[in-house]
Amino acid sequence: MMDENIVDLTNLREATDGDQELEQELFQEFAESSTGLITELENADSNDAWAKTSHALKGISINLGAGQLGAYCKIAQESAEESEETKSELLNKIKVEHKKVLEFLANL
Amino acid sequence: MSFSVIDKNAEDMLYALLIAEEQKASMTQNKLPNMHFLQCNFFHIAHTPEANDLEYLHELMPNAEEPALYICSDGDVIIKWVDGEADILDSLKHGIIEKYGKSIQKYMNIKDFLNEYDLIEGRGKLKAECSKKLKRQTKHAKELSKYFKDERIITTFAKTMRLITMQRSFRSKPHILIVEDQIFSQKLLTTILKDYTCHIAATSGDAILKYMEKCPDIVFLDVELPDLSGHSVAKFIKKIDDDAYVVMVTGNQYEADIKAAKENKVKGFIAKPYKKETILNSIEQYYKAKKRKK
Repeated sequence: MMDENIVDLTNLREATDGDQELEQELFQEFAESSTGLITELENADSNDAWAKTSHALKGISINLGAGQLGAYCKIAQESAEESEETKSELLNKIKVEHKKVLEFLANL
Repeated sequence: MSFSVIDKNAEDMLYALLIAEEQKASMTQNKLPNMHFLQCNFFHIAHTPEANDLEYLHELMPNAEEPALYICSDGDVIIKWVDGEADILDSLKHGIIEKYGKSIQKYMNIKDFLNEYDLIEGRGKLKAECSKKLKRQTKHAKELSKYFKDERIITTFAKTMRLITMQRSFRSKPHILIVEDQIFSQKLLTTILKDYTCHIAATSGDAILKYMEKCPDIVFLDVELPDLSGHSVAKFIKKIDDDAYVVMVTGNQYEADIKAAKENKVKGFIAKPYKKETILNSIEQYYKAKKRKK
């Protein structure tokens, strides 16, 4: 069963006026961009790179309606100065939530 | 040996292979054939090369030979594509089997793949590349920042703008410049603004160039851009064009951002997510402001 709390598509569906083809295009773009950003986050070698990348991921997540993923990214953005261990834990949370979001979209 | 990459998701593999390219001498035992990397995500899963992919590959590598095999990356799964029958493996996901099962010969995860071909250093290469990218952006930002403060540049740009802003009066609908570095958000915003002529810029430098070229009536400007901040762009645009109508858009709602937006006298401050109503309301506000001015 799908968990409706993972992604709230209200805003996006208003934007597309219910055009499903357009919706799918946007989902695909989200999948590609977010996956790329997670790779960048995994490879961020400075606090600045970490903060910028988590900010970018936060932006597209909240624009999609993926509130929890956006919330984790916000914490990550604000934790740029934290230890590698903390950041690694956050990255894991982001990856797990990201996977849920992609599965949610794939099952629509 | 030749390599090509079709998108970001396969970048780590590409860098791994570039390392291999550099270490050709040690690759004699496990020589890699000519190969192409194709992304597979959950939408166009594990696709075999389609016409447009091949066109793209040819653009990237006009002299490339036809690849001996294709490799797709799907999370941690690497699939080798060859002609002929193959064992179908339960661990392959997302309908790959139904669609392409017959052409799968073998799969392995990225780690095994890297080990088999002695490419484990690839990750380091990717990190180095990310670091280089950041340094390039920082350098670019410093240069731009200098230009944005240069009075001679401001005066010249302002003169040019005074000449070209006349075209605005001939437009029946406002032209819009979207300054946003993420393609997904660009697409979402252009979808909302489908009834308007939209131009896109992904960096601060590009934003200024597009502003001078397209003379937009309204700018939706993201605060966080890869080079300079959107606030610097807003400030510069205000300096070169008195009639600029800039609306800041951001995922941050920090006090400092709101303060900077006020100081730059922007016309609006929208917090993400983009809501159709809020965006269209900004356009309404623009019309009202224009009417008042008349």
